[in-house]
Amino acid sequence: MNLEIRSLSMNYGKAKALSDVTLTLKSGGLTGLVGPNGAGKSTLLKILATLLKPSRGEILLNGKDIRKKPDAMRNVLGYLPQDIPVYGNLNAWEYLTFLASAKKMEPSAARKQIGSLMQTLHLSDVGRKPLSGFSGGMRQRVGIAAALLGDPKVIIADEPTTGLDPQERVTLRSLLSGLAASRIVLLSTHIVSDVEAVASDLVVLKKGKVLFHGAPEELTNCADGHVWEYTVADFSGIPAGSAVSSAVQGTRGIRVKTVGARPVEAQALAASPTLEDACLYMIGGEAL
Amino acid sequence: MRPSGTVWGVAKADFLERVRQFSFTVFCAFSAFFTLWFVPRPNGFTALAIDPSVFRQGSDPSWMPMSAAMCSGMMLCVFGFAYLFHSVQRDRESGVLSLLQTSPISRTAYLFGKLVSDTMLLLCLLGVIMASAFFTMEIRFPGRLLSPWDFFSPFLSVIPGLVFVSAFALLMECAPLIGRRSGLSIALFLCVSIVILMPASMGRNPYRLISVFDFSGFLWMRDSISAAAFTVTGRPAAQINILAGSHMDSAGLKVLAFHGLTPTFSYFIDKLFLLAVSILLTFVASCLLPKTERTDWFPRLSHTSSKGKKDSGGVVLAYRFGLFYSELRKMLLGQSLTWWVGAAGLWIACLLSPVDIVRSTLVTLEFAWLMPVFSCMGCMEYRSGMATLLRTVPGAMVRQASACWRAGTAISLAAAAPALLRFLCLADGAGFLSVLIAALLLPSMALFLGEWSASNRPFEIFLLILCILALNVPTLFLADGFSTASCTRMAVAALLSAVMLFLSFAKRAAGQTVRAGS
Repeated sequence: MNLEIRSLSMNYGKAKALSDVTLTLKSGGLTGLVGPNGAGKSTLLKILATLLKPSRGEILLNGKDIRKKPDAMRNVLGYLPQDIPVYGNLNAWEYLTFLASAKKMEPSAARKQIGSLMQTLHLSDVGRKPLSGFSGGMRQRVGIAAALLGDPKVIIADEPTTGLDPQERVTLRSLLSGLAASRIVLLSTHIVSDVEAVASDLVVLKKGKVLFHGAPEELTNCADGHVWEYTVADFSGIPAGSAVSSAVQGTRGIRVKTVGARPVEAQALAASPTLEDACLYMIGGEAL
Repeated sequence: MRPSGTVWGVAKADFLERVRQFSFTVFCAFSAFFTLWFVPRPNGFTALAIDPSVFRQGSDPSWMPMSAAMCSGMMLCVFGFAYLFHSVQRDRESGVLSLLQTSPISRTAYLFGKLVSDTMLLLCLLGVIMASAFFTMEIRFPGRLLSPWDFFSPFLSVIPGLVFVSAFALLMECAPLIGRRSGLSIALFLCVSIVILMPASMGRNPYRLISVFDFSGFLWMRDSISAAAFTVTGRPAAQINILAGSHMDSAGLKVLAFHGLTPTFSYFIDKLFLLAVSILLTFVASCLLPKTERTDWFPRLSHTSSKGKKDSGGVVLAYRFGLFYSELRKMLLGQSLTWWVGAAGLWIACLLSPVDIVRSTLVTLEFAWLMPVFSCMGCMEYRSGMATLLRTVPGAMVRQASACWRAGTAISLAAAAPALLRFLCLADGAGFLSVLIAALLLPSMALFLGEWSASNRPFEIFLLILCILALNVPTLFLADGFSTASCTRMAVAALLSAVMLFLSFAKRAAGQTVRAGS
């Protein structure tokens, strides 16, 4: 699978949500999409999921323009939105059956896959209970099962880890990472640690523009020599306007890490950058 | 998968989702109650009155299915519209529609699934009415069973109308420029049209178009009743009234029995035509349903201007009047232009029309037109999640409810102002007082039903019922003089208003308290 995005722009009235975005995504590795709030991540995902029509540009899936032929994408897409939309009075089995018929799956194949997905995602025990009583994590698992129905070749996940507990987050990202082996998986998040462990490809967006596209290591290398570490007695010791990537309370004070071309503190020492530091550096110190 | 499988998949899920909602159970109970309550009887308020001076009312078991079918034809088509409306909107709000838009399902398959589901829901309600009619028949006339045709055929004429109403509700939801609120106004328009068309279509040979679009099945049933009356008296029935009073002494009156619908080819063709129109409407709706999410932002009246002047003015006023002003703004500025035009038209009509018309029709229409304004009262906070926030502010739940009621009352009084003025000028104290009480009752009822159900639907249905009753029996709400009955009615309405208001505030106050964990 090959997904090419060429010169994609999206305007909401006068506001520009995306500006000249060009990317190429290939199957065989999870792509992380990171950026601060308002960067245009959700708009990009909605356009790729054929929910929005871009103002300009092309999106080619294996050479077919999905602007003109959205079904080319819809036939192979598994979409996992941030809030899983459900019919609260249906149970998981009925809900998945409904989506399977929407995806035009054959009833026998649908039944088989739903059974297997419910087992894989540990939903078998609660499969007959109404979805309105499900916790956030359980709903998310139902959403994943829905996205995986019909064996999609492209999976788009829009901030799927929001609201999940740490264990559920780890499980979800491992699952998506496993799926990425033979598919295009695009995972949008503003939690860098979600993509750090599993993404082989990273896209950083800011104000609708692609700031970086490449391997996470390349991004980390970009921030080399731009991360500084120092200790202060309390928070008032941190100079105003500095881009703080982390502040950890220790026995000898607060261990602060900042990103920038120059250290903001005389005692600051250069530190090796993490992916989070590098992302922060790339977007100019704006919080993710 | 075949398209029919996809349509059935959507229909099944939607049907199961809605049939398991509490509101559906309430609707079923309501339908059963109405069928049992308005059973044809010799005297009093009844479902069906046929030439009360000639025939003994409810004199035969065949009256039960006929009256139930006639009432359900009218009620289901009008309230059914209000009940089904919002079915696509709900998918849009929950995100299910977005999810479906990322799948290969076509808009046509989706909407036909909705059509099937909506029709099935109305058929279920019709089933409840049929069962109630059967039980009523058994209670009133034990052991006198009707033939299957005599019992079922009156209901058959209603079914195409249910499909039509489902399709029309979908079309209204998908049509651009007709928002949810305007759609509700159209439901009202339909309701009034039926009420007005019914006497108009009582002529022997109604216009063919009226006959084709008689989706309540009234004309076919009327002709069948007339045919039965003809066999008894030698002339067709002159007076057929639904939900009307009959106060004749039954001694010496004739017994009337029906034999189901009279099979008529032209009516059969009409029903087929109605079904074809329903399918066409669904196709049109599917063309109107946006393929993707809308990216254009239509400015609404409720949006404040981006220019500083207007914004700062709004802030100053909001500060000056507090919650009351905010509630007033929320209720009025969210309305569509269509609503405002209609409201202005009714207001002027109330001021200039003959007072009899004001009394019999316009005041009721004026209150009915306020439905979109009142329907959010009490429930909007729960639906938007604002209640969670209000609970964290001391006393805010009750204060907000109070402001909401005051704003609703202000609007209600403003709408009723022309009628109040007319009655005042005519020194009609009873008329003035009854309109005033009705203007206070409606916001209280809206707040109460919204608060206790956390949904706008019960109030909408209730108001429609009240309006239909008021159009049929104007003196029910608008007193034409001070009498014991009218004074009692006014006192009950005022008391009811106070009780509902108290219960609404009590629930709000209870909602504010922190509950201990179990």
